[in-house]
Amino acid sequence: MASENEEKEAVRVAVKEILSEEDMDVVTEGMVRKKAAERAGVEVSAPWFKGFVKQLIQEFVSARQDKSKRGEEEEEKGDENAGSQESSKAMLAEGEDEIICQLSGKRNVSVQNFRGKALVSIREYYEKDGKTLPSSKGISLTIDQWEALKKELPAIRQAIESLQ
Amino acid sequence: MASKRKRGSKADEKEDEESVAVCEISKNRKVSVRKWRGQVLVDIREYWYKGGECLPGKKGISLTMDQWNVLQEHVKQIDSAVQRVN
Repeated sequence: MASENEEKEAVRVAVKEILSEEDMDVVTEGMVRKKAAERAGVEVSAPWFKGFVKQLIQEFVSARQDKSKRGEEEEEKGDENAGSQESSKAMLAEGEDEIICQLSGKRNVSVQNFRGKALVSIREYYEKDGKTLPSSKGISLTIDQWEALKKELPAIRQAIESLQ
Repeated sequence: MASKRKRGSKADEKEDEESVAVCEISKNRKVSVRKWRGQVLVDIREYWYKGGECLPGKKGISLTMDQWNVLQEHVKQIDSAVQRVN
């Protein structure tokens, strides 16, 4: 019998497929849940199922909205800080950092080259003299810590599920 | 994050906060998922040890669900930038 994490992964894949197949204007959450349950071989009545599928749908919808917005902006602005597939392919030299995405008005995720080592920084920024500067509120993760975080994603998702 | 509360009892604390998972990402750094006044937060923070207790430190950040979702959506981009560090 599959573990809950395995089931969730199967559901995630199924929902992704279904959402790309279906007409988003017509399909309902209920329909997605039913199809996903069938494809993933999971019980629709599982306690975590409904909330989990709801979250996946929300992620998909907001990602799609961002993509279409950014697509328009990119054509006008050129390749500024689009944050999606268009990030620069250049190497990150020492002392350089690259903002990957904006988590909120004041918070960014960036990758820095600090003395040859990559750091993943999740941090608040502030404005001073027209410059945007990193504040002390945040944390810079080493690669080991970033990898460990990624490994824990299923457990973290599960914890979030259980609280929602 | 340690929070100052007017009420002191553990029973009252439970109403405000509920921590369900704590994962270690290094010796002193943990990710915890908790509910704080109705909001689910993902906290990535340094901890320090004092008198046998493990206490949350100042270095860290608490992410709301919206912020956490954006982070998750960009895992691949973060990885590819990491690869490009010379």
